[in-house]
Amino acid sequence: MNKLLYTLPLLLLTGCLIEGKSNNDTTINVGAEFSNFDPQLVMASASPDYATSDVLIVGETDVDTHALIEGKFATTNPSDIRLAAHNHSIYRLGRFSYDSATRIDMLFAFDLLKVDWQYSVLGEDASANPYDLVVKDKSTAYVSRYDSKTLWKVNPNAKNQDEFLIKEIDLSAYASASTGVPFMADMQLIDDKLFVVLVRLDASWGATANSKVVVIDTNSDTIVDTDTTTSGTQVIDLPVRNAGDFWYDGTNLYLSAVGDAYNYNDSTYKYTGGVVKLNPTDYSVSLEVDDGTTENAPYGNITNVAVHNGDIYFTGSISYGNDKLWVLRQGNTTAIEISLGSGTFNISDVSVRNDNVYVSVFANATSGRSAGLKIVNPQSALVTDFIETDLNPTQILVIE
Amino acid sequence: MSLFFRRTLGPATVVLVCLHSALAETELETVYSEVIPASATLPEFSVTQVQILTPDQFSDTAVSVADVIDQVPSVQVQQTGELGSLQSVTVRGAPSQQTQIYIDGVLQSSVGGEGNYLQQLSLTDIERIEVYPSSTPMQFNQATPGGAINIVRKRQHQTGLTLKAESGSFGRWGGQINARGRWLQTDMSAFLQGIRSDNDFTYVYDGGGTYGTDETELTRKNAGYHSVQGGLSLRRQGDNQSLNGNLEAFQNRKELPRTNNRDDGNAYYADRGVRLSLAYDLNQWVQNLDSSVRYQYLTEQGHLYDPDNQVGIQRNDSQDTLQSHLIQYHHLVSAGSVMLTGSQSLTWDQFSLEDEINGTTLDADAIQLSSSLGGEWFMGNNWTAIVTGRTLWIQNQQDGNRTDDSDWGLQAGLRHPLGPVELQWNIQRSHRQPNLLERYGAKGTFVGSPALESEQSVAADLSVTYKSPQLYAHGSAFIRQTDNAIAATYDSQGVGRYVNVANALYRGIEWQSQWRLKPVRLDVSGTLQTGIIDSGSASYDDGNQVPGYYPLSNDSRLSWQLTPKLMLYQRYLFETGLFYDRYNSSQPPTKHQWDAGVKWQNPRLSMSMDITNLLNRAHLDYSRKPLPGRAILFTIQITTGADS
Repeated sequence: MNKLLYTLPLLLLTGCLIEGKSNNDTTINVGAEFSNFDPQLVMASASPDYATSDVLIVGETDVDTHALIEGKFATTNPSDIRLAAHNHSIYRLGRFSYDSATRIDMLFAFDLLKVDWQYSVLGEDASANPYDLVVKDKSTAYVSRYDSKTLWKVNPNAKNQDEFLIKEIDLSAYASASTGVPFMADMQLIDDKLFVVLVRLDASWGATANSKVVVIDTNSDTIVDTDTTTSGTQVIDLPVRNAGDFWYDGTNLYLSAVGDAYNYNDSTYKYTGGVVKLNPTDYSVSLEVDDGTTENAPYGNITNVAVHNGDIYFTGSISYGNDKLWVLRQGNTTAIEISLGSGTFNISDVSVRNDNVYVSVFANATSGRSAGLKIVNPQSALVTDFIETDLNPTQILVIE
Repeated sequence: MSLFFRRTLGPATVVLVCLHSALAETELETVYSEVIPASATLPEFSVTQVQILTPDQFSDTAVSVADVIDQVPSVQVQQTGELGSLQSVTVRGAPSQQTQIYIDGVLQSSVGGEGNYLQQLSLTDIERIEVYPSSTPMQFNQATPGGAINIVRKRQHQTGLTLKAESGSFGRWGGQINARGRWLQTDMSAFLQGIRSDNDFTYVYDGGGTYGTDETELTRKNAGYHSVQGGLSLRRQGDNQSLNGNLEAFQNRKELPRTNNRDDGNAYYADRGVRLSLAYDLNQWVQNLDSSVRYQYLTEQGHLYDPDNQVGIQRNDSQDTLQSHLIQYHHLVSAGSVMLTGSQSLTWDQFSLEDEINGTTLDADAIQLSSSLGGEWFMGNNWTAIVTGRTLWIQNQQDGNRTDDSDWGLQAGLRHPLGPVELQWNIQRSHRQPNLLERYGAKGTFVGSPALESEQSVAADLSVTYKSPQLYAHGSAFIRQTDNAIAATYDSQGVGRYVNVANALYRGIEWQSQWRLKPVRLDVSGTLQTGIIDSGSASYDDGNQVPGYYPLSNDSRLSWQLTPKLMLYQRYLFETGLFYDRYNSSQPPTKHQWDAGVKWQNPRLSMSMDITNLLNRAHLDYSRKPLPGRAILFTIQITTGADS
């Protein structure tokens, strides 16, 4: 019996030798059914409680025109993401408090997705909250950092963290006085000119000033003077507040702006958004869609935009969980609603590829309707297909 | 032996109660007064399943009730970081808001979503902690899906003084003074305790993602914690009546570290509060009737300060205030072989929240009237049966918007001792009403949800207990269906609100044993359980495991009395299978934690050294935050007069 008493502590310890297993494999086999996969769209997704994020790839296989890869990068670390894409690479940005950039290479010839690298984009900030990444060439890319004063020029070919950061470009001169941070968001590269949206919120996240677009010459990494008739280096003033993401149709840039939509205490400037067209050559801007006034706001707050053959597709948030898709046909002055089906929808993004308009919708817990991607025919304005997803898609990116 | 006889025979039966406890060799060391409050739960006779913790099971490293409660198999306590961080209690997989907290049988308010009561409760002056993991006893006039935890204060004190001091890893210091005495025919007890910790432990920061080579070892910054608590309790005992008063106050402050561990900025959560409770217990008011009247006043203020948006997704400078009044009446009457217990309580809670930065306010109140009537039948052959019916009427209102709700509960159980073996069966229907934050809370990009429905559940369990002088063994099996679970969801614009999202089915078994073979005592407890989500449609979480709890856990404690004064102990905690999220995408590593300690003790002086996480393993909490590694704590305690 005494031997047993002495042995007991050892028996209790044996469990300590069993180690937990963490999942950080850098190569993921997607299966032979994706051997001839042609990726067309990349989507970010999130669970309804934003505890989980995932990277989704939509493409064509030999047997499926809308095959979907999902669940391969589902994680709580990071749970808040945005994506960028370039050639056959996906860049996953871990946002607030994650502050990381991860490159995922799509190697479908080998049935593989491979994590190439992950680097911190935090720098000296409390949180950089990265928003977008644009690749110029194989050794040059830019990272907009929403909660920082500086935009990063980085090296996607870096072999380690020290080589990753090339240069910081200070944009704090365009911040609101109360924050010192310009809230740099979406970016678009056109002919070596990098267009960067500056949302310019105030210290209470209120949209108390119009947004701007700054243009950076990527050859010199200097800010382009967009109005030479005025002294000093000028950036582009937008006639809207709380601007969102760019849409580039090959000729013009389009921007949606949600206005001061999230100020629940003061609705005075709630409808100061719309859809803006920006000429990337002469930097002129025009308000294509006005979101209206407090008394008359037919579209609600405008949240996203995409353009197909001159027709402007945009989404508006009428109320909580009630978003609608609209189209302003070229030459018309009034937008018409495109029905996505019965009931109300949570729309997170809209995009266009070839002759399809893609609209990402959230699951509806009340009706049991699934999350996914609605495909709309631009000519008929009818929903032609639906790609169901596990999590709520939050961002759509087109791969050309 | 039955509760019926003990009640009807009056004070003399107290002796029998003690005898019963001693003969059964249970861990209950309860000493009851001559006047037994009608609200007393009397766990040794409970038909509903109950798990008990007594002070001899409290570790010296423990600060609050939350630090010891996970010793019972049904309870898991999930940390959210270092000492002083929010701790979330799950009972049989149920989230913390589904478990009711009682102090001496008085329900504590949860209108503002309070989830950290157990952290506010000092272990000083506690007689025992009762955990009812499924069905709640008939003395409680409300019942929720996650069962109930009842903290029972000491009712009798002997004159004495205890001084305690501690010092340990990560800048931890603490002290406590506890004085007990009798003056003007009144038993008195007072305590004051303080603790502070820098929480400057080292951990590995993963660089904000799973991949990469950017892991670095950091020392936690801006994570300090300090707490001061005090209490005074008075008890005046008459022949047939007793009057109890208790006043407690606390003040805590926890610095909130950044995920990336930067040391600039200043973010914290501070709370303070005062709780006053009065109880008047009357025995034999008329023949065969006990009654008990209780009043509780509670005021709490919390302050979340994060003006530079360092720890959350938005800037915060929000202050919340809760004021709560409760009056409760119990009566107990015997009629033949039936004992009836009735309980009514009226609660008025006022909750307000103000955030100067976000400009948001919430000013809401709730009035609740709850009643229960339970009957306990003492049948032949040692069978005892209970049936309890409960009703709740609740009125919530904010800015003139009023919501009236009512709900009901029903519970039935059987208990049957067979020599050293005891069998218990129970089934219960319960509910949880949405709290004021869930219903009306609009804060930044979060909106209220006035139309929320209550969460409901039906739970059943079966347990077998064996008691002998050397061995105590307990096993139970349970099943619980929970419907309309409330959770936060966000729309496409990132605006959140609470909704009734899904149902879940929980099933599991639990074990608890204590084997005494001098000089060794071995305690083993654990659980194997599943909680599967049923979303009712093809959904991202349908069929997945409910997140936030470990499906398999086992806690083994071995203590070895080397000499009459010297004791060694070790503890091995094994937990595995937790998911962070409803999608079941991510899991923490399996937890293997080994603790050890040594204690030298004589009647006046005790000294101990406790080592937590001896192997210095890197554990993550259920929200993916790093937990401290190996920690050593030295404690010295001096007692004069009688022990407390």
